[in-house]
Parts: sequence; C-alpha cells; structure tokens
Amino acid sequence: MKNSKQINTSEILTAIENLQEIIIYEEKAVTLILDEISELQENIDNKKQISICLTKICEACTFQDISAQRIKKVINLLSHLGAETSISMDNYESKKDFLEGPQLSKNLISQDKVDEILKGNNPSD
Amino acid sequence: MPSKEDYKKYNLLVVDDHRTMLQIMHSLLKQIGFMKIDIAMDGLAALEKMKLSRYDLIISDWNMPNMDGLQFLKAVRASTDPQVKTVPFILVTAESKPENIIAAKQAGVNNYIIKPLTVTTLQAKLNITLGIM
Repeated sequence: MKNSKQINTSEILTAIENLQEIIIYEEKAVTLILDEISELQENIDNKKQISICLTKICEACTFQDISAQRIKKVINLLSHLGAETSISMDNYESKKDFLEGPQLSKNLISQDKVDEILKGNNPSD
Repeated sequence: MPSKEDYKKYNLLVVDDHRTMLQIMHSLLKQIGFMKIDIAMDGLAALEKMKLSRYDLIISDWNMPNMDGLQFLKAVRASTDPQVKTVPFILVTAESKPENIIAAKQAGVNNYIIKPLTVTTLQAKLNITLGIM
C-alpha cells in the first residue's frame, strides 16, 4: 500500500510546479501580445499585417484558459487536503486524481505526437 | 487552399466552460470563414442545444462541469438519431496524456487538438474532419 504522506508530498510538489508554470507561461503570453501590439503600431496601414497580428494576439490569449485550469487543479488539491487534514488519510489512495488537466511543460506532448496516437501508433515506440 | 466561402455553410457548436476560450474560438473560427457558430458551456447544455438545432461539427473542451467532454462525446455517439450519432466531433483540450487521447479515440472522436492552439492547426484539423480540400 502506498504511503499516504508520500502521495501528498508528490502532489504538493506538482502543484508548486503548476503554479510556477503559470507565472512563466503568462509572462510569455503577455510578452507576445505586447510584441504584436508594437508590430501593429508600426504597420497601422497594412491590413494584412494587422490581421496577422490580431490573430496572434487572439491565440496568445489562450493563456488565461490554461492558467485557470492549472489554478483549479491546485485549488481542488488544497481544498481536499484542507478538508482531510483532521481526518484519517488512509483512504487517500482511492481519491480522484486531482491533478488532471494541463500537463507540466516537461510532460507535454506535441500535436504531432497526438496525431500519431490518434492513428494508432504508440508514442513510446 | 480553401477559401472563406467554403466554410460559410457549416453549422458549428463550440463547447467550453471558459468564456474567454469561447470568445477566442469564435474569433479564430470566424477568421477561417465559419459564420454559423453556436456555443454551450458544458456537455449537458450542448446536448440541449442539439435537440433544437442540427450541427455539422462539434468542437468541445474536455474539462467542464456537469458533463465533461469525454462524457459528452460518448452521449453523442450513443444517440439513437443517426445524424447526431455520426456528427464530426473534435476535442480541443489541455488534456495531453496518451491514455486520454486513446480514450477519446475509442469513444469516437474524429480529431484531437491540444491547447494552446493556433489558427493554422485548427484550420488544418477542421479541413481534415470536414473533408474540405
């Protein structure tokens, strides 16, 4: 049987990594948006360039969705830990995996790998 | 290369519990050329919409309250209405674990896009799913 304290530590460390990733990812997204705004300002009469910049800004805004999902993961974990603190943790192993959702960067797979899995190719091959 | 005209006729349903994501998807889909785009905020709400309208394509998130994307996909594929049962279905999600992708494939997903997405990837997957050349 797993040691419930070790499970909690691992989950907490992953939660910390998630929060760190939010900071990094949001900074990248906002930097990209500001760069595109700068590009827009320099190409204010170029309709095609305006369209390209606006699309990139729109794409970058998905950071909010990713961040919100990461934060929810951490909130769920902390809420559960908070509720369980005064209660025996012996049955923690049977609890839902709280940390579903966006993967950490080190565990991310590319769209190409996703496409391979859909075709039926094992990504570990 | 498809033109914007090629997409006008399609009726889409986009499902996501984050309003910002719905706005982003709406903007990107309009840029591609889609004009008829309905939205819902979870699988249950989407199923209710599908009782009232016919859709040519469903684009859904995975992690949603009430009914998540995988449950929604399974409900669609279990429909007794042949048109609903076979409607093209794309998951657009941050879920990137291989076992989740396999689960979605086994449930009958037509395509799977991981977030964050680009309009280029979105259009490419839509073209494949809808058979647009």
